Amino acid sequence: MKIPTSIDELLYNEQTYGGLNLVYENYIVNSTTTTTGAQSAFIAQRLLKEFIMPAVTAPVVGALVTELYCSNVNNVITGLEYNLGTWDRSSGTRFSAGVAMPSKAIRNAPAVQMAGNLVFLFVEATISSSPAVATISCLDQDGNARTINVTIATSTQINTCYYLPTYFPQGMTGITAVTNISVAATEPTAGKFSIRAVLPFNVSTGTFPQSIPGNPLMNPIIEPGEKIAQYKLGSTQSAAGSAGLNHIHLTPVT
Amino acid sequence: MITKHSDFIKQVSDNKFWKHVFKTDRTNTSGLTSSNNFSTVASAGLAPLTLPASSYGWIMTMASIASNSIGSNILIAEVLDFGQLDLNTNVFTPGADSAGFGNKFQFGASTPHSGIVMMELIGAALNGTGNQVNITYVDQDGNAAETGRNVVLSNGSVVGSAGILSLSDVDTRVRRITGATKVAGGTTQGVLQFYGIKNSAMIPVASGTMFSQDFIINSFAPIKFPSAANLRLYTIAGNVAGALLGWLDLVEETP
Repeated sequence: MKIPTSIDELLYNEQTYGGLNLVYENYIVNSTTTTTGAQSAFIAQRLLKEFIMPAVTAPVVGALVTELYCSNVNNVITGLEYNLGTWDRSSGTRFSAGVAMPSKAIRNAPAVQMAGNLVFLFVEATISSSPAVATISCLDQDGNARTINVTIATSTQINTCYYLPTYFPQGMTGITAVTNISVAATEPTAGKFSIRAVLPFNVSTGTFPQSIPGNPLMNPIIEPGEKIAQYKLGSTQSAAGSAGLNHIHLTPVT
Repeated sequence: MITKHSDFIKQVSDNKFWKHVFKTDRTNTSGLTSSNNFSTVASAGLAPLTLPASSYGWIMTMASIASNSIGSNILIAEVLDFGQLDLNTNVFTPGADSAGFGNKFQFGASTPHSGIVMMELIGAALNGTGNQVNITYVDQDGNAAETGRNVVLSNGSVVGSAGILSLSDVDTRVRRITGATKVAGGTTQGVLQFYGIKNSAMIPVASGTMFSQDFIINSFAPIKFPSAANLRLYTIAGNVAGALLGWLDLVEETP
């Protein structure tokens, strides 16, 4: 993989292989329940829409985000999202495995194992009335088995996101895979949540574009089939329907 | 084809550039879809701009816009004519570009292109109430007969009001629209024009200031426009009256 390292290389790839100026609207599907305990001052909401990186033609292997702009919704983190595992009350087995964090080449170095440290417990279907404790069995940044316990608030609504690193045990800085999820105390009668790890590109302030040349960053390369998702961070919730127009520029990488 | 930064400088030194100056006033202050079904409110199309003819098209290197009172993200968009819905007769007429966005060379191959659709009220202000429309489209993956949300049009919307077409939850963009129908509301005037937004840039402009953004050095997002492209300007979530003065810096592409 040859990651562009100059304006000329970006221009060459853009013109020779064709870049994509990705424009789409995204929005918050509904307001969230204010989270509890250690989460009380920190709200995250997942925006609804996703972008899946399409197939590419050799020698192109992926793309680099060179500009990121989301109007109107402040403090939106945009990045690659991986669903590490799901707990679904309607499923007999409850837990279904997701993907492991990938290996990625950063700045022309050999690919290394990624560990997610921007990780959310994302509520996909409203958790019914019982307060519950989710036990997440996972592997940390070094491959060690770990356990994370998260108290889920009563009647947690769709779109609530618990910021998981708050609950990481001492010595754990990232997560590479989820091996099991169980919910104890009183198991809710309904609900669904998943563990979503994000490799962030940047934060869009809603008032100014963020870009690679203007502020060089170590953005991960997007490979075919990978997903771009967005999370709104902040101490206050945004109402359902809060929307922004995305301008995300993708330049080919060979 | 311009593949190095020095190519831009060479083209400028050879007088192969264009500074497209514009000034526009906007008096209307309403959004087309205030309830908007989650849609970003995009008010009033501003000035239609037609770029000069060029054998190889243009690359926009910078945009500069001053505002006396409009504080908004400004969308600079190449528009395609996807069609019109007469809100009085409820008849949809496909536009000159109803075949859609077509193919685009992207990530090493020619692939179907997709984008957003802007709805803009033309002809006459809405004088009816409770008007809703629904638009069918081919989505970004080529799935036909997709149905968007019913779009609630704001009562009394004035000419130039606009909004981005709301899509179903799983869709982000469309390849083309296949039809539009008024599904609720009484007799009204006005025509909904559907524009496909093909190539675009967005820049922030604060009220009472001028802002410049380059798309090559400080922010890498080269925007290519074809010869004689039709551009329109939209304010995103900025429904105030005012004037915009500015220019687009364009460098002519090479063979």
